[in-house]
Amino acid sequence: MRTCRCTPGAIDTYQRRLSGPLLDRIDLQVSVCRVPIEALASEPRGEPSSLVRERVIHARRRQIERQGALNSQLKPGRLRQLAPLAPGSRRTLERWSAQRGLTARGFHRAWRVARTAADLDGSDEVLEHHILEALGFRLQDVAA
Amino acid sequence: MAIVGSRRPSPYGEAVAEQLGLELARAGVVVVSGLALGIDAAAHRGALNGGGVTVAVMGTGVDVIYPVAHTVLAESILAAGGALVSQFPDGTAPRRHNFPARNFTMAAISDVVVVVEAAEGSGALITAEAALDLHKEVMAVPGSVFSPLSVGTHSLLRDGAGLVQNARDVLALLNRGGEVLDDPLATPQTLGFRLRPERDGILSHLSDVLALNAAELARKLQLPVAEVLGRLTALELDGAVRRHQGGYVRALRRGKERA
Repeated sequence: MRTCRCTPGAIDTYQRRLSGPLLDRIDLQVSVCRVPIEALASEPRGEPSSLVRERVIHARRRQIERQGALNSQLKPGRLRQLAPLAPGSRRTLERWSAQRGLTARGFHRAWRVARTAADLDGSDEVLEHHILEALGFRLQDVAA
Repeated sequence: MAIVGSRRPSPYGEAVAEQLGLELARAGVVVVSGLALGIDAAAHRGALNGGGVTVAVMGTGVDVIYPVAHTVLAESILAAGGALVSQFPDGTAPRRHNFPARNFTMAAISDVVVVVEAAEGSGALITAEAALDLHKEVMAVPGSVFSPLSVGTHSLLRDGAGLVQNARDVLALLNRGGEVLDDPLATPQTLGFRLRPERDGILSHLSDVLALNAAELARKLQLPVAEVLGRLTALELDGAVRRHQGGYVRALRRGKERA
């Protein structure tokens, strides 16, 4: 990994340029690391993109069939109806919100992503691990 | 006694600095540091948690809190009977060239300088050098051999700095009693944390120094990324892991609960 040479102050200033409300709207943040060139040849191949594509198409079809729209277009009311949470899952989402000071918007966005994680899984129900996965993608929530 | 180190420490370094600050303060030692981010702040915080007196030697005027985020910390230092001191006139803004002079002052008013995590060429090493010039004691806390933050401290140790594994090592040098024993600092990582093996197995694959992201961990464990991410988030909710530099590390502090 190459280390950033900026001072902590400069990094802070730079990161502050992205406002909270903007970051709040980013559902998926993924950190990637630099792969050493020599590792490229020996890496296991992983899943082919064609297979991932199949899964995505399938998940989108599920959404259209279930609700006539994609999950991203669901209003909170419809979301509650179409992605009800078991008490344990709800508690997890609420604990995170309290710890990280999640906004109402962030709360529903994470919930929507969890609905999609469940669809990718082929699951009718949104389970706790779907919620956890969705929260894991929210890199921007700062611990209080 | 001064505790100095990196402004961007690993969770390990931060935990060590806080614990040292706390134990030394409890032993009645005045903990000196520079009010900077990272190790400095952890040392001040530790001393405050230990109910002790701590002194912040500033590179700005005493009326200019830098970084601004430490305004509350500075107030707590004063409230606990400590002091903010500066060699610069009131209103002096943070200037790069003022900080080495500040580091020198920090060494001058301390009997011992303990360095916790310092990369090559860092300000903490300037403080250590100043301490040597002033015939003060320099001590260092060892770190991981994988971490660039150990380069400075390990070179100090190689050059004869005293080894610090716990507060007693420092107290012995100050003739404040306590024989030197080789037992480790009380590791705070299991305090109040209930381990659930089926979920927490991945913990043993995480370091407390180097961040690993979910994808790397998933590859190591041959598990789906989604599953690893979910398990990491569950551990994060419980305070057992923390996000650090785009990845995850084991948390050594239980945050507020340990304070």
